[in-house]
Amino acid sequence: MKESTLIGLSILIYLGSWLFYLIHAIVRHRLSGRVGDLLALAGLLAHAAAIASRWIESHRQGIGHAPFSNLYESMVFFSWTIVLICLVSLRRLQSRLLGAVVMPLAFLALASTSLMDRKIQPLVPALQSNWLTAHVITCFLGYAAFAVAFGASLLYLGAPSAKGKKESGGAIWRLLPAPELLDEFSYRIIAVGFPMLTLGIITGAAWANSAWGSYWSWDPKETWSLIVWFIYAGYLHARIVRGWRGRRSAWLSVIGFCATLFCYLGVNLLLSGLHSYATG
Amino acid sequence: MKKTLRSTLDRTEDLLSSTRLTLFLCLVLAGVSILGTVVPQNGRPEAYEAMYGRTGARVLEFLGLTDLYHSAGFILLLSLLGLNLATCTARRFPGVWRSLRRTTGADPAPALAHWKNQDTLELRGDPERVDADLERALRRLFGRPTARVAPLEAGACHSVRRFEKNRLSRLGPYLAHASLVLILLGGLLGALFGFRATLILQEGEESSTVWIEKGGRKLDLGFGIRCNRFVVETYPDGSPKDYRSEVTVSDPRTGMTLDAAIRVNHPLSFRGVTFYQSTYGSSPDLVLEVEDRQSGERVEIRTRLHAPFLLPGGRGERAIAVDFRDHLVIPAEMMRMTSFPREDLGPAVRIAIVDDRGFQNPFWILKEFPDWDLRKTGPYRFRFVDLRLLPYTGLEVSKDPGTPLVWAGSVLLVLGFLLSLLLDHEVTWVTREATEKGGIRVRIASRAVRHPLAYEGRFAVRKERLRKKLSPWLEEPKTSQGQSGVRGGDDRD
Repeated sequence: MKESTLIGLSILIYLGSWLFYLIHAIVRHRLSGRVGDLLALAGLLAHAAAIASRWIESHRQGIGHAPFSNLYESMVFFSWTIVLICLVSLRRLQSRLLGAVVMPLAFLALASTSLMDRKIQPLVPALQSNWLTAHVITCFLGYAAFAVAFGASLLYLGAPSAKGKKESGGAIWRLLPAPELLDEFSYRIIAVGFPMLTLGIITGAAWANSAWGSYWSWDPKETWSLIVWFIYAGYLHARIVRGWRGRRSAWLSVIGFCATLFCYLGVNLLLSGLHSYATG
Repeated sequence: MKKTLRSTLDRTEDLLSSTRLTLFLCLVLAGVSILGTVVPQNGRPEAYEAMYGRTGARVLEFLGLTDLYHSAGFILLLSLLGLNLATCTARRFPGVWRSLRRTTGADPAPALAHWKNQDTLELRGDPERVDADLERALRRLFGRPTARVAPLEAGACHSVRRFEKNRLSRLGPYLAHASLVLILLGGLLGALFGFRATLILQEGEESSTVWIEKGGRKLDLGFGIRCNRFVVETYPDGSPKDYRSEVTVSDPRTGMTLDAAIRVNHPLSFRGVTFYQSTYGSSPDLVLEVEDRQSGERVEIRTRLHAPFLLPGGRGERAIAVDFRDHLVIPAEMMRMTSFPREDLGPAVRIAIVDDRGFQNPFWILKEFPDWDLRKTGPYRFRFVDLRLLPYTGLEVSKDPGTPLVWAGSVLLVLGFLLSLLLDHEVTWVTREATEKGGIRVRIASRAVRHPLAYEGRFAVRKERLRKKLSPWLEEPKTSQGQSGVRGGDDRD
């Protein structure tokens, strides 16, 4: 199948998965939760096939390269990593409410690509580097982990128990695991995302060093990745050594993900810098 | 007096090594860094005045916001973070190291009394075989034995032992923090002893000096680099595929020469200096005619941009071409004030006389309007006779002795993360005692140091596996004390 067909299919499947998770959350229908899982998995596979098909197509055109070279391709990959990490997390957390808050992120990310130029372009000289693949994969695994942690933190902040009320919330919240487990889950997933982001920054620095002659030049993208890094470094220290739990650390995780989104999208769209080629 | 100084020092050290300071610095650095991505960095003063007005530009300049990441305040924050990391590591590391190396004297009593993950097994059978199976199972599930304590109550306990898993993970945070210090040191080393410079070479041109970007200083490399050819390759759709400078490096001291191609992402390193493909373009080879009005002496001069040349008349005066335009265009609103027949004046070069105060009164001369010379009253008359456009390549030249430290720090940092965030140090105390009825009672108390909550689930699984492995000897397989760790969501309704 063609890449565009597969992407379109994935968008629909993700929407379906989200709806089933919502139905599961609202009417507490267990089967629809399972259907949500299955749809998310099917979407993940179709989505992966789309990425592979684009990769193959680029080789057929004689300009073969991993599909990580512009905004469209990175957004497609971002969405894929979110679903991947969400599915892994669902196995761990055993609450499909997480799917109901994270799947819309993946759906929106992928749906937004339909507004972008999806022509396969050859790699400009600056992008012709072995670091490209490693840099993009590590960065987006980190971003996706933060996205899932963001979802869990939102659930934590929304749950009535976090507001100090006792069991007064609606039936939805009873699907949640104990708040401390949700809190711990956010932390665990950030503890995975943080080394990924660090690897992303390091591979980026190594790449910058061979392309621009300097491993760090305070370009806005670099600076924002460092800002995100500082926020999550702060989060980890706050938890591990200062004993922050619950609402405070959940808010820090929300702020961290907002900074992540700005680092990924805001910098390209609003600020100028060395990464500006990635706006196409 | 001495005492107060001492306590002040102590308090300073407490503050410097505190994790509260770490948290504060992380969040403040994140906040401050944002400013530098909003205000353009290292722009020209005129650009700031145009954007923020004269006062605004002054305020930005004063606050160091126009070069934030090299400002004293920012470097102070980074240094504080470095100090914080270093003192924090130096302070806590020895204690952890000692506790990791300790094999006796640890006290199992609190573990057995308070730890959440516990189990008690009643075993019966040939003690030798039971013990062998028990030992194998414990090592398999809870790591290797690291300590043995004398019996708590004489006769009651035969053995009290500690098992540990992933104890190296305790060193992870220290490794990570030390490697961050290494990276910061690498940055410092680069800033102190490295340089960044640009080198513009026309095809066929050779140079052994470069212009340092900060301060406009010239630097002698000690070897020459010549650009033989500059090549741009494009894809069929016209987008750039390759920028390549074919160069020859020659070292006069050793007589060694080296042919190489410098491409984007493929720099050339020679004697600690690295050359990167950075930019390209074409620059003019100029033919000028200069007449000394006083003596009437007239010379033809071949020159390039930014290369001073001697003027006629024997007074030793020099001039320089400071700017060149393929097409000098007069702004439409200025057209009324001039007598030119069209807005596009064609090729133009800007000349300045050089004296010890610098470049004086630069002025344009035009190739297509040879008689137009604003300095009709000056001592010289200039004519722009001819030009040839020569391709040039722009190389970024840098030397950074700090990079090996930075890469070493990066590798250790990742290793430190793997140890500290993905592994967890697990400690398990096991007591084995003989019961009055001739059986063997084994008590287990287990804990993970960093992620106790996540460990509860793992312990529940291991507990069952331990029971399974020892099932031939188990007296009452039905109950298990302690709490089960998994609390699922879906199945609670």
